Amino acid sequence: MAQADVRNDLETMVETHRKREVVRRRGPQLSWQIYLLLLPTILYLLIWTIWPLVYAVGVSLFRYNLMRPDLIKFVWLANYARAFNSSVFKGSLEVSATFTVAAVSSQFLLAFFLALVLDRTMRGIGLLRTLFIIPVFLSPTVVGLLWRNMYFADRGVVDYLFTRVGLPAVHWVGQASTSMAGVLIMDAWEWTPFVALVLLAGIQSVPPDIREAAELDGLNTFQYAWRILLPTLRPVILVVLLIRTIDTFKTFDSIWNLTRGGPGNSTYMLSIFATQTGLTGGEIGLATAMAVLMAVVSNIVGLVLVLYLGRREFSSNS
Amino acid sequence: MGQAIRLKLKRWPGNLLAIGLVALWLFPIFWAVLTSLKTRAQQDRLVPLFLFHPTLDNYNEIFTVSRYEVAIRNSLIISIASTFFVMVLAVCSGYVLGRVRLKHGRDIAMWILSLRMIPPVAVGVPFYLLFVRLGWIDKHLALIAVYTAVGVPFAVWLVQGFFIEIPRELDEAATLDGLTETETLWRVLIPVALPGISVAAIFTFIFTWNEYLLAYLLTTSRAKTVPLAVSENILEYHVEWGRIMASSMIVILPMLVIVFLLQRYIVRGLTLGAVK
Amino acid sequence: MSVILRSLSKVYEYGVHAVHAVKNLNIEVQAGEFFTLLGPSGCGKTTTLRMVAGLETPTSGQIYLGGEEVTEVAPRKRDVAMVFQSYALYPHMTAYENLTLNLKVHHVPRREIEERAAVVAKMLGISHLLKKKPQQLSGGERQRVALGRAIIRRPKVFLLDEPLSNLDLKLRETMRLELKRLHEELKITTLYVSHDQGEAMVLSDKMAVMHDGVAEQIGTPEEIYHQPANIFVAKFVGSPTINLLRGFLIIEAGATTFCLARLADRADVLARYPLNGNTPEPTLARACDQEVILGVRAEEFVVHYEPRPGLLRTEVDFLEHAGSVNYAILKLVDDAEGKALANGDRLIAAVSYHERLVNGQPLWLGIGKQAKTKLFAAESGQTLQG
Repeated sequence: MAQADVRNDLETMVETHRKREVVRRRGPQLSWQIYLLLLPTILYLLIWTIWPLVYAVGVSLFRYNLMRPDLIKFVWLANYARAFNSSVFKGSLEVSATFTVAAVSSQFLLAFFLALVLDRTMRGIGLLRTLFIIPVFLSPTVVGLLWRNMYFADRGVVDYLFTRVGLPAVHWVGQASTSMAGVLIMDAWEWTPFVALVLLAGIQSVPPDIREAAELDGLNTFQYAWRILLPTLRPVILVVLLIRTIDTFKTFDSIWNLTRGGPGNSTYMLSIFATQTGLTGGEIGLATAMAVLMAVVSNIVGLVLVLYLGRREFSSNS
Repeated sequence: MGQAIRLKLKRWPGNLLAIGLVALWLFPIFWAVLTSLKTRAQQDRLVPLFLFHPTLDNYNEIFTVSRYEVAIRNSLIISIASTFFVMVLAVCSGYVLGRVRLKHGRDIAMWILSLRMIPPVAVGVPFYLLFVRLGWIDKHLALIAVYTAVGVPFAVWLVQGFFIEIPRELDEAATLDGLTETETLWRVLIPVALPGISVAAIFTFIFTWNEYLLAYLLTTSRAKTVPLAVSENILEYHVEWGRIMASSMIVILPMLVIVFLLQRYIVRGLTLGAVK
Repeated sequence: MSVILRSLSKVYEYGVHAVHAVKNLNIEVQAGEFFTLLGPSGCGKTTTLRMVAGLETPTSGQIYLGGEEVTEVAPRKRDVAMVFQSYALYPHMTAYENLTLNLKVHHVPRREIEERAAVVAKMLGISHLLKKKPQQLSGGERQRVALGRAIIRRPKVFLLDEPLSNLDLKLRETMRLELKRLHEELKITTLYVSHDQGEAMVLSDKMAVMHDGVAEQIGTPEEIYHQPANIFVAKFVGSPTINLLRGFLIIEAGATTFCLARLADRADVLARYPLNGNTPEPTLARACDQEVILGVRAEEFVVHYEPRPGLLRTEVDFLEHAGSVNYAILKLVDDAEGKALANGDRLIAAVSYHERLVNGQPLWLGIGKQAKTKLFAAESGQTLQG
C-alpha cells in the first residue's frame, strides 16, 4: 500500500519535472515565429518611410527644379545654406515656432478648464462629448475653409456676432497684426477637444476615494487640481504635449486654406514655405532640404521631451 | 458615489455650463450647415443671414456638377484598404512589442513612434518622383501604400498600449488550457484588446480620409479623394461656399455615428496610449 | 464631541427602482466613545458613515456633530477625518506629504507641521517610512499612514471604514490592539464600520447591529452578545453561530420547560430543557401557546456519552479542530423532517480537546447550568421580553 503510494508520488514528480522542462525549452524556440510577426512591419516601414527619407535627403543635395529638369546639379549642402541665409526661411521658422508654442500652451490651459467643466455625470454626457470632439475628426482642409468663410471681413459671421454683443469688429485674418490670433483660434477650435478629452479621461481615472480623501483633508477645487490632479496626470500631460507639439509644428492644411500664409508673411509657416517652394516654384531640391530641416527640428524637440519623460513610458515590458 | 465632490458647481449650473460650452463650440458646424443650405445670393449678404428659405441646391450640385460620388468612392477604397493594412501590421507588431520580451523591443518601439515626427512634405517629393517612374500617379495603390506607411506608427503605439494592459494571467491561463501562442493571440488577446484595436482603426481611417497634401501630390483626377474634391470648389475668382459646406456635411454624418458609438473607447484608447 | 443621528434615511433612486439603504436610523454616540456599525454587506453601515462624513447627503433626517446640525455642511468643513477601506493615499506623494497635506492646506505653520508629524509617526511606528511613496509600502504600513493622516489633524470625530479588512490575519489582530490602544490614548469619538463581529466586540464601547438599513439593536458588546434583541442579532454576533432549537414551552410544577419538538404538533418531543429563569415568568406564561425558539451558544452545551432522559440525541458528523477548543458538528438523529433546528441542519457544540470523539459517535446534549439561553418568538424573531 505505502510502497505503491511512494512510487506514484515519484512518478508524478518526474512527470511534472519533465513537463516543466518542455515548457522552458519552448521559450527560446518560439523567437523566430515572433520575429516573423514583427518583421513585416519593420520591413514595410524601412521601405516606405526610411528609404523615401533617405531619398529625400539625397534630393536635398541637388539643385533640382521640376520645370527645368535639365539643370539638375549636385550642390552638396548649398540648399541648406540657402535656407539658412534666407530671411524668408528664418521668418517662417519663427512663425512656426511662435505658432506652436502659443497654440500648445493656450490649448492646454483651455483644455484643462474644459475637462473640469465636462467632468460630470449627467444624462447625455456621452452625446455632449461626441459632439465636442467633432472638430478633431474634420479634415483640416475643411476646417481651414470653414474658418475662412467665417472670418470673411465685413460679411464674416464672426465679426458680425462680435458687433452684436458690443465688441469691436476685428478683421481677424484681414490684417497682419491679428492674423496669428485668428489662426490660433481656429487651431484651438480644432484641437482643444482632443486634449480636453484625454485630460478628462485622466481626471476620471483618479479613484473616487482619493477625491473623497482630498475633500475630507480640506482641499478646495483649485487645491485639488493643483496638488493632486496635475501631479497624477503628469505622464498623460507630457505624452499629449509631445504629440500636440510635433503635430502643431507640422500644421499645413488648415492654415494654408485659411490664409495661404498671409496677410504678408504673418502666418507663413515653415511647412507652407517648404510646400510652396516645391509646388509652386518647382524647386524640389530646396523644398526637400527645408522639409528635412523640419524633420530634424521635430526630432530634436521630440527627443528632448521623450528623454525627459523617461524611456520607461515607451517600454514594452514593465 | 461621491455626490458632494463634483469639482465645479452644483448640479444645474454645472450642467448648463457644460451644455452651453459645447453648444458654443459647435457654432461653426451650425454655421456650415446653414451655409450649405443657402443659395449664392443668400450667402453674399452684408449682414449674415440666419433665417431664410433653405434649399438643397448645393447638395444637388455637388453630385451633378462635380461628381462628388467619385471622390467619395475613391476615399472609401483608399481609406478602407489603408486602414486594413495598417491594422494588420499594427496588431502583429503591437502584440510583439507589447507582450514579448524582446531584447531591443523598447528601442524598436521608440523608433517606430519617432517616425511619426516626419512631416509629410519631406517624403512627398521622393514619393512623387518614385510614383512618376512607376506610373502609379493617380492610382489608388499609390495612396494606399503611402498612407499605410504613415499610419502604422500611431496605430502601433496605440495597439501596443492596449496589449500591455492585458494582465499576464490571461496568457498563463491560456497556456494551462492547452492553447498555443498563436491560438492565445487569436482567441484570447485580440478579443480582449478589441476596443483599443477599434480605436486605432478609427483614428487611422479618419486620418487617411482627411489627408490632403500627399493626396494632392500623388493624384490628379481619377483617384481624387474627398478633401481634394472639397477644395476644388475654390475657383479662380470666387469660392463655392455652399458646395464646400454641403460636401463636408455629408461626410460628417457617418463619422458622427461611429464616433458616438465608440466614444468611450476612443477616450480610453487615447489615455491608455498615454499612461502606461 | 458627540455624534447624533436622528431619523436618518437614505434612498437611492434608479428610475423605477428605489433602494432604501438606510431607514430611519437613530443613533447617539457619546463624546470619546468607540462606536461600531456592524452588519453584513449591504446593510447600510458604510452609507451611514459616509453621510456622517458628508460624502453622501441624507434623503431625510439630521446629523449633529457636537450639538450642531451639520446635515447640509460640506465635508471639508465638518472637521471629521476618515480612514478609507482602500486607504486612499495620494500615490504621487511621500508618506510624509500624505500625512501633512491637510495641515498644509489649513495653513498650519511649518514648524508645527513637522512637530506633529514626528509625534504621530512615532505613535504609529512609521517614522522610518516617511520618505517613501505608497507603492513602496506594505499593506499594514499604508494603513498606518492612512491612520496617521487622520490622527494628525486632531479632528473631532474619526470615521473608519473597515480599515482592517485588507490585512492578513496576524496583522489584523495586531492592528486591532493598536487601534484600541490609540483610542484609549487619544479619546477621540470614533465611528467604526465593520462586518467582522469579533473585531467589533473587541474594539467597541457600543455597537449598532444593522440589517437592511435598520439598526436591529444598539448596545454594549456584552448586551448584544448575551441579550440579543432578535434572531438576526443572535445569529450575526458570536462565533461559531448560535444554535437555534425550535419548540414550545410547558409549565409544570412551577417550572418552565422548553420542549424540542419533532413535528409541528407537540406530540413528538425530542428533548426537554428546564429554563434557568432568564426570562420573567409572566412572559413565559404568555408564550406557552406559541412556537418558540431557544438559542444556545456552542459553549453552553454539555456533552454526555450515555443516554440521559430529556436530553437530545445527536450523532457526530465531523469535528473541527480550532486549536484550544474543538467543535463537534452534530446532526440530529430523530429529526427526519428537519423541523427541529431553526438555523441550518447541524448543531455545534464546543468540546475541550481532551475529549476523544470520532465521527458517527452518538452524543447526548445537555445545557449547562450557567448558560444564558435566549428565547425568541418563532414568528416575529424577537426576544421574548416583559
